[in-house]
Amino acid sequence: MSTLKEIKKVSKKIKNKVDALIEFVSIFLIFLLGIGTTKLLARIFSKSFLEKEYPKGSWKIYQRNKDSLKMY
Amino acid sequence: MIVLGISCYYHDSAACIIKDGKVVAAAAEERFTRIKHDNNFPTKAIEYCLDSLKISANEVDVVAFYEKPLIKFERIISQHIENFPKNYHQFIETISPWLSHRLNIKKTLQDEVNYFGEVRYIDHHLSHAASTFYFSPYKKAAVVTIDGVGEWSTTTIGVGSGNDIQIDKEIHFPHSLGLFYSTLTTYLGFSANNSEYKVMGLAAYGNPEPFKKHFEKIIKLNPDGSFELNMDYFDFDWANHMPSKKMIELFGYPVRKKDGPVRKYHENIAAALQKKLEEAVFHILNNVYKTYKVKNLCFAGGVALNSVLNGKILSNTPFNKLFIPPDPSDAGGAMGAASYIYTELTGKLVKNNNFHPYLGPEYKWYQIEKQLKNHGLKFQRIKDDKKLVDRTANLIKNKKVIGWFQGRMEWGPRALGNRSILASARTTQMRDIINAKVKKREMFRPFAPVIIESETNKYFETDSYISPSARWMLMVYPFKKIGLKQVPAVVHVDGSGRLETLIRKDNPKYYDLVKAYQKKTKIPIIINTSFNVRGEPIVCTPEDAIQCFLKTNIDYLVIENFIVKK
Repeated sequence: MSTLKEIKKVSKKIKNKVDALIEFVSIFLIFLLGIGTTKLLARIFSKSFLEKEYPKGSWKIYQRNKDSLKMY
Repeated sequence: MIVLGISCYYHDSAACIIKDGKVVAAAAEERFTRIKHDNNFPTKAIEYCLDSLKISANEVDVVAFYEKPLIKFERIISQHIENFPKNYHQFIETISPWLSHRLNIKKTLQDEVNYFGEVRYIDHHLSHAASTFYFSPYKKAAVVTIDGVGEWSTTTIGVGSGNDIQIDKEIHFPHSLGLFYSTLTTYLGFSANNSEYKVMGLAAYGNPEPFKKHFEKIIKLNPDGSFELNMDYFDFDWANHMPSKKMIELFGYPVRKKDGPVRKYHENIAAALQKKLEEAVFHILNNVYKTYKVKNLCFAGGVALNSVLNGKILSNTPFNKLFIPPDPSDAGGAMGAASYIYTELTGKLVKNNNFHPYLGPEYKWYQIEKQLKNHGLKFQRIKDDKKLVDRTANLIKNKKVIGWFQGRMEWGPRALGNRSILASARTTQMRDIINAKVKKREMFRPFAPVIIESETNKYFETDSYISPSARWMLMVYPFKKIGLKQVPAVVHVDGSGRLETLIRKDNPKYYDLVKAYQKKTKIPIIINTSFNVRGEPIVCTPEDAIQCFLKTNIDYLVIENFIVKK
């Protein structure tokens, strides 16, 4: 019984490590392909995702979706 | 109708429950988990809220979430795209929780508290706006919210009237007064989203002049009342550290190490920072007044915790009245979201006539007695409140440090007389005694005075209108001469005090205690500091209080009607 328990424990540890590795690789790919490619396209089309300078003041008209059922 | 409001995943998670327009319970998750500023899903705070109504999760009609997660996620992704590839570490660290659960509040509610009903989402700054306007005594007011960041907004302005809150304008991330202050907080060696109040305290020791020009380069105030950060001085949009190399070069000193010595230039930078923040906020508020021409102001967001700033608002702007809720920060968003949805769905306002911050858990005498016996502590039970109060007032008069645990825990970051450490304020030594016995905190930080409200004008140079927010320790005013002489332990180096004004209706036993002390000493002021040790959340349960009492050198623990001597 104790051997079986040991095997289960070790296999769980291995599974966790494999899960963490898969997650890391996936996130890295998202970063490289998703974020990186978008950044490249943004550069080509001179698009900025954060407005860091405002020549005429930084107020914006508030236009948020007031539908509280929506997450956006 | 029952509405449960929740806020989480940034800092200070919390839950609040409203039944038929009345706030029944509210608490921050940190008090239950004992993790300071806990930002995890507030399972325990929700359970407490449900228990207080003796209901299960599915008896709640609707859950109100304090922000719109998808818009926030959009902002985070935009930050990552803009800063690719130098933000690699931050992306790996932050993106996983977003993909696993932060975008799926419904699923988390199902898994954590077994709730399968409706969930509604309110814009972060609208939650802040509701948390102040709906609980204010005003029918119409300008509403201003300023914090670190919500979804995209860092600052919003608008007007509240009757049931309606109309936000008109906003300033977007990365231009943020909250993050501006937090960045300098980390530069000065303190932690962001935690120790900004320490910098506020430190500022009183410094002279802003040597660094005034430096701050003019960092932040620009525009003629339309807005402001703009020079992002060359900040890295918070892509890195874990907040000040950039350029900021360090600008000041000419390295980032102060945590627990390193506090030098004169640290004090001067803190003073210049505080001054610049005040200047920027008054700039916004004066513009808001010009726009709306309303004399009442409702203010919220993390920046509204800056009580030095708050105390100067009415004297530096045309507003006549000011309201800030007991918890204007993100935790308070839970209450704001719940009240907003209640009003949206019923068309009615929340009942705020007898609004007070004592909304946390309370414990019965037999539960407390059991805990005291479990710890083998010797105690005396004094059933008569008058005698209890009189005995405690005597102890305070005799320079004893008292752990005072009564009734329901406070909502918000301040201990307001139910989870407090109390002591005499008559000698400066008391400050050192409390620090040595219990708090062990930085010596530059002041202790706060609690004062009978009707005596406030005798001791403080207040505005002609004293905001109800002074009851929640959100205002700092200069002491008058009599205060400097009679209660030096609560006078800060600049002669000011972060007062808590007290009326009997809010907390009768606490009021009677200060009154009894006044009868014995002719002074209506004592020290009130939070019942905790440095780095821990304020105590919540009798067990937390007993543990804190045993770990420190508090002389007496007055827990409900039990007096425990060490």
